[in-house]
Amino acid sequence: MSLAALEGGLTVRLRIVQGRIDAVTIANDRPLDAASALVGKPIADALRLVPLMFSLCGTAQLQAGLGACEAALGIRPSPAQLAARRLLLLAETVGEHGVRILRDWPALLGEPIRAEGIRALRGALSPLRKALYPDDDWAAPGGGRLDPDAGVIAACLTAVRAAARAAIADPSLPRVVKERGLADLCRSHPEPPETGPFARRRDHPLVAPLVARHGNGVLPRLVARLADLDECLAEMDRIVLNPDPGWPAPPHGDGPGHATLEAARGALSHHVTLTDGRIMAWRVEAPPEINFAPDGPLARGLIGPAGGDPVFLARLAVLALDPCVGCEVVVEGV
Amino acid sequence: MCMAIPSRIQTIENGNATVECFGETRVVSLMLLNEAVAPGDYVLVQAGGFAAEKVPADQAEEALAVLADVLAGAAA
Repeated sequence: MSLAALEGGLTVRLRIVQGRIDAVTIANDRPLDAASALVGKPIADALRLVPLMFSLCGTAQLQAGLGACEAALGIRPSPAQLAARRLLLLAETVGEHGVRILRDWPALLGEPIRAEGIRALRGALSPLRKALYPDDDWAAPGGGRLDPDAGVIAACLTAVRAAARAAIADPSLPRVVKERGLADLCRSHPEPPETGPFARRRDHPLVAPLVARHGNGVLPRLVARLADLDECLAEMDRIVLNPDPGWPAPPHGDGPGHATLEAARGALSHHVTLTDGRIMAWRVEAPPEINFAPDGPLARGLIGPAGGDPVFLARLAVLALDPCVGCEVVVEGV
Repeated sequence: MCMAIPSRIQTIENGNATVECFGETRVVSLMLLNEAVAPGDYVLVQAGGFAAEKVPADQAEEALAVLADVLAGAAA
């Protein structure tokens, strides 16, 4: 197994016959059982390792793993802890969407990456965790010492809002998609199961009219990501934070625990089994397993006219569904 | 899945770094980093060839030890 295999990736193969994509196969070589490396470790060690191993959306990964462990231990965190975690999760989603919109959207069109905007957004987000949890212990089972610094948090949210709204102001990709008549690309009927911003925001006022015209095509998906980012910002402003000392976790616990949350790219689930405070089993289900399933929205949606540049079409469709790993597109046939 | 592997910077030139991980080297862009890095530092590398963030050495080495177990388990 190579480094590339450890990072994982998708290979999308298009079979083209007489100008039509008539078959799409998706190879997913992401190491799905990587979480099994946590088996045998004490809970605290495993929770420390989760964001280091699954560092893309590390906050979501840790919150799902933490929630699963808490469920197994019979711990119910306080509303204050859950509110603070929610704020951190939304912040991560804003950052992930920002990178997609500022880096990958222009890159697909051959435009310069908006690196300054990404750095500004990340810089604005970075003080938030310490402003909530001064000891940086938010991921302790039951919660860490939550002592929100209202002034720093307010300044942070103001800076995040400014950086994020600059990011989503007039991005070129949705406009280009519309101009080139690609709004319906990757549309499928009936719609296969899907998770992520489109599933979350298809009823949003900016998205619903596009769904009515273009179904689950790429334009509604791209606009859903913009809407999701905006809604995340609005929810961050509404969250009420209160101090909370956390819940001292019992050192041992038995049984299974599960937790699912909505990460930037969709539903993320962690399943653990504990015995005497150690990990006996750990399994992760991540959004790409749904969105890039062999019979999922990408595989079904790409069936149709190949156009002049099927690789571009496939890359656009992949980007609209947003895998967290690299994706290679291979064309077979003529 | 959802992994960005910590990689150690060997050299830096023109905003790009040559990084090493598990014996493999590659060149990544540093343009998205907010903080200064130097040879010997660890960065997380994301799809597309971008260093996403600097990682403290102790955390990077702990992650690499676990990921080495994943590699060994897959090879077994």
